[in-house]
Amino acid sequence: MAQRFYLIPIETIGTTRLPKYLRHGRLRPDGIAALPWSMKDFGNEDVGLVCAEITDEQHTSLSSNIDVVSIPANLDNSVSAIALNVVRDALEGLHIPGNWVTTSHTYRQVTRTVALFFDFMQRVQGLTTERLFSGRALSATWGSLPAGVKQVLRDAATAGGLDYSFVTSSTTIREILLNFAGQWGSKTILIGGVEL
Amino acid sequence: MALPATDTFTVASDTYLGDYANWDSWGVTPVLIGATDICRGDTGDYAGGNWVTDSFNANQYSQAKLNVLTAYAGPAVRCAGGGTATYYYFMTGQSGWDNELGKAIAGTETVLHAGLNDGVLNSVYRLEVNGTTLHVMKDGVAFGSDCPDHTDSSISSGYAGMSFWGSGELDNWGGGNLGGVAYTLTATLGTFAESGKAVVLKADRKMAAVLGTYTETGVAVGLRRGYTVAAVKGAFAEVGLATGLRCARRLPAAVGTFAEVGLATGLRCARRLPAAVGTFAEVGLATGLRCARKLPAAVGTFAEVGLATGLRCARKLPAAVGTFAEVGLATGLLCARKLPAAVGTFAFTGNAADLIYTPVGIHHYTITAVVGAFVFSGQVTALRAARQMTAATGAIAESGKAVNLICVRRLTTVVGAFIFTGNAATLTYTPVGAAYTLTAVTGAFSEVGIAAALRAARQLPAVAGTFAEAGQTVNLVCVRRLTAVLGTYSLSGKDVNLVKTGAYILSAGTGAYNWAGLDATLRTARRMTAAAGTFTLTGLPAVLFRGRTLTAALGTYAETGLPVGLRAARRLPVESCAYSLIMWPADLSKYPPDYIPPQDERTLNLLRRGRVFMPDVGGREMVLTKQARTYHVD
Repeated sequence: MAQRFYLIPIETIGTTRLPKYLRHGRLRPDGIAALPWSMKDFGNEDVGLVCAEITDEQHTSLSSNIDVVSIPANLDNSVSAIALNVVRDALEGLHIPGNWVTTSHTYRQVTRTVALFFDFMQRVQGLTTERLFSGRALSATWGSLPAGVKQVLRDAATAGGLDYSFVTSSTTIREILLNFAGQWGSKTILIGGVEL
Repeated sequence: MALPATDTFTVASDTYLGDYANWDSWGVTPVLIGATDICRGDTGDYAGGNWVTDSFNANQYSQAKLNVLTAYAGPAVRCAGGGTATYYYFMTGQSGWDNELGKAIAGTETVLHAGLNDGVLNSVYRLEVNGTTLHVMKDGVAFGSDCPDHTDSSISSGYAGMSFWGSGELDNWGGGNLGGVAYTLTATLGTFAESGKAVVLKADRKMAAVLGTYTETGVAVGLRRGYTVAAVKGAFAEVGLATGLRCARRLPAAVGTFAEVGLATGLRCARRLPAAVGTFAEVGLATGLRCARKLPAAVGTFAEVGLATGLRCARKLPAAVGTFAEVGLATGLLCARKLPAAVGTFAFTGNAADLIYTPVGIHHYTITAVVGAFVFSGQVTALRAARQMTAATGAIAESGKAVNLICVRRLTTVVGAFIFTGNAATLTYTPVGAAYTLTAVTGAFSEVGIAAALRAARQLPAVAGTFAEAGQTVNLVCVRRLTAVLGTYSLSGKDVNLVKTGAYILSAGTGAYNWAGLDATLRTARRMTAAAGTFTLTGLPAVLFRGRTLTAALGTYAETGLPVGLRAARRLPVESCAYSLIMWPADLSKYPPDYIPPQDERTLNLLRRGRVFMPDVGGREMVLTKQARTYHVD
């Protein structure tokens, strides 16, 4: 057994959202029996950062799914030059800012920053049930956002103690998320008992 | 109602939770069962309710007893109220369903954690939310790896409540706010004990109690950073191994008894144990007050007993009235200690009782007492570098071995008796421009024993009294002065010497002066002046050397023994004696023709060429006032 991190699509069963593929005793008893698992969702977006106690066999089974992104077991390794574009593309493909990643970053730094993106989007989730990236990309600018979405983002930033005065009409969502993650700095992130 | 809120769901008949006082509900509303006084979910869907009578802080908890192992049930926090299904929940129950931590946002649930274990009947499950951290406990213990702490930022406030999936049942619900930032263990009355192993209070916990007994038991009992144990009245005890108050702890008490007992107890680094009235004891091994501790007390008894007790570095033990004792081995006051007392008795007893270290330029070591008795006894009792022991009245005694006053000590007294007794009692070292002074207005001063010595530039002035140096090797060395107006002065024993040319003066107005023993010697340019009295030089060889003067106005002067001699140009003028001169023939022309000593004096055969034995009334002049003898030329 090892504790590993994944980016896994979120599936809704009934009214309940849970990570795809993994076992849940009540809702998906025939899922991959990677228990216990914990998930940090990307707000209302259908992807979650999952931490699971998993066997090699279960890992092989889970990571064989094309929509599952496996994060290397050793989080303290740096992103290699070969893996760099893979990591960036994997994140960007899930509407998670990824082009900031370089080979100087470790996977722990990448995972923690992703969790901070998710944390902000959870604050958005507390204010609206709408998906920010429904029909919208990371490159969308502040000026292009509807007034209601802008207000939700401002309110979420205020609730999180974040300064959004840097935002102009040309600022992209990617830039906003990156800036907010930077402002949170040492904020505690716990998932599956692991502090990132 | 005031928080914390509790509910045992005591109803006469089945009642919907939404219709029940103090509660709101969502989903298919749970039902309170009149027959069993529990709350049950309904059908196969999410449901729940929250306490609405009180507002909860954002940091809150909810807990309830799991009543059945069918379906799911558990506590909920930050419930939105008003029937809106927004909340965090923890649910467990049915075998095979695993436990579940999750959140519901406007009716959409998200599973945040799925665990392995089934629910345990009659266990109390508690969900806390503090900031963005969710924390689950079962029967007062963190749930651990099966539902570890988890952060989520979606819901920021709400009410405490319950959640269900299906027909799960809960009883004995409670909800409230989590403690503030500063955790306090406060008690008005009671007994507080930390004993045993592994009892720990960690950052930001609060344990408050108005009345009762509090016990923390286990290993590694500790209060850590920023914790306060406050008590107005009571007894406080830390018992066992490795108990300690560390770093900036405070244990204030207005009245009471405070004890630290056992091994390795300690108050370390900036602790304060203030008490207005009481008894303070540190007992056992290696107890200590270290580094900037303060143990102030207006009235009381202070004791440090055992081995290696010590007050170190900038401690202050001030007391208006009381008794202060350091007893045992290796007691010490180190580095800038002050032990001031208005009235009382101060005792340092045992081995190696020391006052050590003087800060630069400051006489920090002070034992000050207006009235009382001061005793330094035992072995190696020492006052070193720049200590001051000042006493207005009283008796000051240092006794034992190796009693020393070293380097700039001052022992000043207005009235009293001062005794330095034992071996090697010394006043040592003279700093530039300062003096080692033993000053007394009235009284008796004695230095007794072996090798008692006053060395370089010491002053022992006395207006009236008795001064004695007795024993062996009593010395006045180099520029010493022993001045007395009235009294009796004696230098006795062996090797009594006045040494080195200079202002070595032993002068006395009236009295008797004795140099007795062997090798009593006056060497170059010494002067012994006496107005009246008896002067005796006794022993072998009693000698007056070149240029010496022994002058006396009245009295009897005797040189006895062998060989008694006066050598070149020496004078011994004595008014009342027979005058004699013995000289060699070659020198006769220098003297009056009738100036011949008697025949019997010639037999002395002591005077040689050019020497004169010359009595003289004038004392200091070489004047012959009487010629009653004859010359004799060999």
